[in-house]
This record gives sequence, C-alpha cells and structure tokens, in this order.
Amino acid sequence: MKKLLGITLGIMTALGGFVDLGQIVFTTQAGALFRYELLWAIVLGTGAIIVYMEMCGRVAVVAKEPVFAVVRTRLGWPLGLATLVASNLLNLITCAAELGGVAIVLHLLTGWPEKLALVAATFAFAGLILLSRFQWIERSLGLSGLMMIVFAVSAVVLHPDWRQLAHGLLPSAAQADAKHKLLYWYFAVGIFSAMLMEYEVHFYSSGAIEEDWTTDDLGENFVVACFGSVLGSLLTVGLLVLGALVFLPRGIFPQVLSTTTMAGAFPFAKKALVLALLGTLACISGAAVETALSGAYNVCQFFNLNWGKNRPLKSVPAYTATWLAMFVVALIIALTGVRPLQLVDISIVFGMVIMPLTYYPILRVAADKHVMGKHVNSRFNTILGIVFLALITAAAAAAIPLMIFTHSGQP
Amino acid sequence: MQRRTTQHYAKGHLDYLLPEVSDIAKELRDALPPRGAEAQLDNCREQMQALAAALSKLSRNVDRPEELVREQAQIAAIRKELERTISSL
Repeated sequence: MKKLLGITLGIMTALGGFVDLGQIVFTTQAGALFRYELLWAIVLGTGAIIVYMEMCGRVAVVAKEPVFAVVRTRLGWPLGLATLVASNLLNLITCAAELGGVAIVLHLLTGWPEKLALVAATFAFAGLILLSRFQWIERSLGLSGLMMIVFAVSAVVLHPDWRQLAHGLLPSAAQADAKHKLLYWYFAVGIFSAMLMEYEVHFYSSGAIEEDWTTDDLGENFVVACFGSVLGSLLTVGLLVLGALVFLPRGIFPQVLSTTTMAGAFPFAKKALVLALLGTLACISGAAVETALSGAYNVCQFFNLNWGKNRPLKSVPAYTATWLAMFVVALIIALTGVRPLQLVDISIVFGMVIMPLTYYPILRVAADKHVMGKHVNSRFNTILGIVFLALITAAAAAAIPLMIFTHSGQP
Repeated sequence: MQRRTTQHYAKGHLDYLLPEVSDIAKELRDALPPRGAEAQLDNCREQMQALAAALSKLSRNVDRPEELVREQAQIAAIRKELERTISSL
C-alpha cells in the first residue's frame, strides 16, 4: 500500500513538473499556426523522454553514476567539459527565462511591479531550497503544478474534433509554400526539444540518488517515467488543442505569456483564470528551481565533488555555491529586461543541439552488460534508444538552420 | 473582460501587449514598401498607430465598462481594416 502510494505520488509529481515555459509557449503557438498537425511531434517527444528518463534513472540506481559522471567517463575530459559548459549555459538561460516568466505571472496575479516580483521570487526559491529537503522541493512544486489540468479541461470542454486530432498523429506535407514548410519543421523540432529539456532528466536521475533508490525501486522508476510522461504529454496536447481552437480561428499568434494563459480559462470565468495562472506559476517555478539545481548537480558530478540537497550545507560547498550562483546570474540576465520568450527560443533550439552529447553516453552505459549486469537494456530498449538517438541527432542538425530561416518561428 | 478576467490580469495583459504593438508599429515605420504596395503599407502604419493608441486608452480605462465597450468596437474596426488591407496585397 505504501509502495503504491509512493508510485502514485511519483507519477503526480512527474505530471505536475512536466510542463515548463517552453512547452507552454511553443505548443500553443504551434496549435495557433498548424491546428493539430504537429501532434506527432508531441508523441515522438514523449517516447524519447520516456526512454531517456528511464535509462538515466536505471543507470543512476544500478551503476550509481549520475548523468555528468557518465558524460565524463564516456566522452572523455575535453568533449565532456565542453558538454558541461554548454549544458550549464543552457540551464542558465532557461533559468533566466523561467524567472522572467514567474515575474510575469506574479504581475498578472497581483499587479506587483515586474522587477520587484522577479527579485522576490528568486529570493523565495533560494529560501525554499535552503530550508527544504529534496523530497519536499520536488513534491511541493510538482504537485502544485497539477493545477495546469485546467488547461486540459478547457481543451476538452471546447469540443475538439477528435478525428481531425487523430490525423495529427502523422506528419503532414501539405504546407502552402516553402515559408510555411520551414515554419512547420521549426515548430516540430521546437516541440520535440521542449518535451526533452535535459535539465528535467538530470534533476530526476540526481533525485534517484538523493532519495537512495535501490534496484528494488527500478519498477517505480519505469512506472513513473512512463505514466508521468504520458500524463504530462496529455497536458501538452491540451495546450496544442487550445492553440488550435482559441487562437487559430481568430488569426491570433500568441506572442506573450499572458495571451497563452488566457486560453487555459477560455470557456470559464475568473476563477479558472486564477487557477490557470497559479498552475502556470507552479510549473515555471518548478522549472526555475530545477534548472538552478541541475546546474549544480552537473558541475559537482562532472568534477566528482560532494553534492546533495539532503546533506549539510558545509559538506557540499561547491554544490551550494553553484546553485546560488545560477540564481544570481539568471536574475541579472532577467533584470536586463530581455523578454523571457526570446530566451526560451534560444534554450529550446540549443537544447536540441547539445542533446545527443548527453543522450549517447547514457545509452552506451545502459546497454553495457559489464556495468549494468542483469539490469542492462533489453535488445528492444537498445534499438528504441538508437532510433531516438538518430532522430535527436537529425533534429539537432536542423535546429539552428530552421531558427535562422524562420526568424525564430515568426509567421 | 470584466466578467472573464481580474483587474490585475486585464491591466497586466495590456502592459505586455502595448510594447508588442509598438514594436510592430516601429518595424512598419522603418520598412520599405514593396513596389506597388505603398498605399497598403501607409494604411497598415496608420492602423497600427491607432491600435497602439486604443490599447493605451484601454489600459487607463480598465475599470470603466462603458469605455471598454467603446474601445472594443474601435479595435474590432481596426482589425477589420487591417485584414482588408492584407488581403488586398
């Protein structure tokens, strides 16, 4: 019974923590431009994140090696270090974008000046991390993110055409001209990348070690990775549907976060809008905290330094200093006034570019019988992993040219 | 707007829409018209300036329902005019 409760809680936490600013914006914009035609990108992204998340969790438990320890040993020092720098720059940009998003939502909820909200939120997150154990941080933010369900409910209440939605499961080649074709593929890569933001998985696998998972917990790892991601991706489908039903018929391209959150409450009244804003706030707060902590995990795991949220501060000085520095630099970036959605564009595109460099070493270790013993990948797992690696590499190669040719997805 | 959103949201949303519209208006001001589309570009510039002014007024009158109705009608007219201009290109 206790185990079942733990798994349910794990799934709900994964569901609530699944969506972040990039997903909210990219998916809604994709729906507003291409109706349901990019549903397949969500399905593909869900498959890829399940495979990656499950492997990372399993490697962390069996080999006791978190992601960046694997990156160092499998890619070697120079390429590993380059991957660490790129990954943490990305975490920093994403953290700044999420902090900026939090300030926007707080401004919409309370009317506070945005810069005051930005500073207050950053201090609140730092305080939360300093005062709470890992489990509390993960669960409080993940579970409050469940308020995002209002977006899925709104999507269903607006009666989407289910048959047309099902057609979106296959890629479409019916774009009017070259410009629309490029835009279509830019959003396909963007959605795929947003589903696969690597900080989420690094945070998850570090969490498996923080929570002292053993091989007895591998079942829970599998169930949480599968069901948490599938339910989370249903929320993402809800965002796509809202983009298609609320914005597309009115010729609106949602370029600001406040427009997107409005869609979550469209069929309802004020209370639903407040719920949609609170759900968005919880999700992007979770992402801000995860990106800062993920940056600290990456550095300490790569350089083999002491780390862990549940350990006394004095015994993990580099870990504590790194996540604090992540918040400080991200706050400074956000205070310059750069628009969070511009930062999100950058983080999504470059996130895809560096994804193969962390995915590949994890796939190699998960398929290595000497390291994993009886918990090694099945042949099916490895084939699936290779297929997704090929897709990720193709998307990584296309991401920057598509960003340039479409002016970051401007219709 | 009064029934569907809160006051903070309405004011805040306009705070974010205004700079977007101003940016587009500036881009249009600086843009060179394609051959044969000078009149349409001029019209678009005028409409975007009118939209920015309407949003600015709306932002000051969020708590006055009768003003909101008036501004809503004006924004709808601007939208229709912009759609007509774009379809004529």
